[in-house]
Amino acid sequence: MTERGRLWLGRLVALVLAVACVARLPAAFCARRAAGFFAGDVGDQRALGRGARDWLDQDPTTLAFHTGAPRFDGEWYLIIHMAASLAFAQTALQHAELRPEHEPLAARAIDRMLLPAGRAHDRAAWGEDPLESLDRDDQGHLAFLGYANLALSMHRRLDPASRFAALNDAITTALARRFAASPSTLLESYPGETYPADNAAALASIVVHDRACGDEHPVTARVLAALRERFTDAHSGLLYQRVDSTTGEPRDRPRASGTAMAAFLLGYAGDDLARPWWDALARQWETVLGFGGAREYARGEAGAGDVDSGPVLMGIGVSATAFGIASARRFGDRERYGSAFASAWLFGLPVESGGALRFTAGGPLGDVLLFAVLTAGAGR
Amino acid sequence: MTAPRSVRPVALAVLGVVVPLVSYEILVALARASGAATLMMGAVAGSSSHALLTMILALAFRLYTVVALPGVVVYWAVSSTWTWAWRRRTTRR
Repeated sequence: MTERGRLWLGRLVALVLAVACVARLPAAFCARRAAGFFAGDVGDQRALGRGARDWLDQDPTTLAFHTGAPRFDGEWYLIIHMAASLAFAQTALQHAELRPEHEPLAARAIDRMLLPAGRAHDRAAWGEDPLESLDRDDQGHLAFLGYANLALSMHRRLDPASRFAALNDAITTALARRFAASPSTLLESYPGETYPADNAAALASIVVHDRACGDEHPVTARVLAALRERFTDAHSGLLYQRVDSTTGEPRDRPRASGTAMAAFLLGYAGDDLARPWWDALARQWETVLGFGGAREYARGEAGAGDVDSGPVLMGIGVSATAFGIASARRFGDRERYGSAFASAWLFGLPVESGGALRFTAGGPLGDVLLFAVLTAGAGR
Repeated sequence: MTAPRSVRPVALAVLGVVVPLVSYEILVALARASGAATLMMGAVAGSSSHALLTMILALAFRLYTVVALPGVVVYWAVSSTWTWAWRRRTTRR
């Protein structure tokens, strides 16, 4: 072999080894701590909690978002505080040693969620306050009530003598009554806008409430059946993102972001409720160089990202992947949890300091949501 | 003007490894300080262009240092060792 040939052979060997290295090492590096989080390591959960706590220690106006759309600003404010409350409550339930610290933080997140900023988007759309119109049956208000009530119900589960019990009872009663009175089975989030995932939040909030205080609302079985049979695409198993408020006909395609969020929220009510949508989400799973995530659109379909899905990169949706982490942990899917963890660790730009773990790329939303999904525990 | 042979690997290591790692750390610190961009869930509206650029650069350096750099290092190490080994063998003959 000539000198030049040997040189090129060497380069070829180096290239093959470099490609093999890139195909395995980065994902393995990013997933190296996934096992601890999957197992519910108390130190990891405490670090995530400290990262999220930093945002709750700041003045609520710090979390006044300026996305350019007041509706999204309000939704983000609500979702961050709901997720923080869920995360602190579920970690307090998982580890008794975290309870003294995390239980008050769950309550603090709820207090902030109940500030006018948490429901301004809902009030602006409906022209009335969702908490001051609980006696009416003709308006859904699911842009606020379902999510807020799930946080209240989880706090009730954590503390049966919760100081939010009266409000939790009132919202639960109103939601159950409205579901029972709804011709389409589902409730509107905003006037003329019905989203199955928002209805899943409301459904979960009622079921968790009932389990926490021994109550029973039979309408939940009807809503769950409708979500599974009428508002889920038979082919992909994914929930329709949006449906017509009157006819129930799909107004958007079946998508993974809404499905993943519904599975995440229904998981609080029990694995059996979330199972069909996790199965569908698991079928959407893809890995690229070991980094995993869920395809936003059903196989064979393509589409762009939006405020629900987050960026869609190579077909994989950020939001669906993030919420999918919670279900992967609940259903014991170590492989998908690890691959999505690697993605979050790569793109989240994690920073650890002072015993806190934060994700720079997501700001408060990333810190709090990843805290909630990485630590999602058993529903019962 | 070219650098001496002994200086070239050091310069390459500094440019290819040290500078990206340090740049990434600085950019992440700047991104946290600016605190505006929220890329993870896809909504960046409302963030200043400066904060957004900082975040995008930080992500680019993250991808380079975590995904590409191990491959670059392996390629460099294997090809260098291969060349060195063949030259040594040829010289001995």
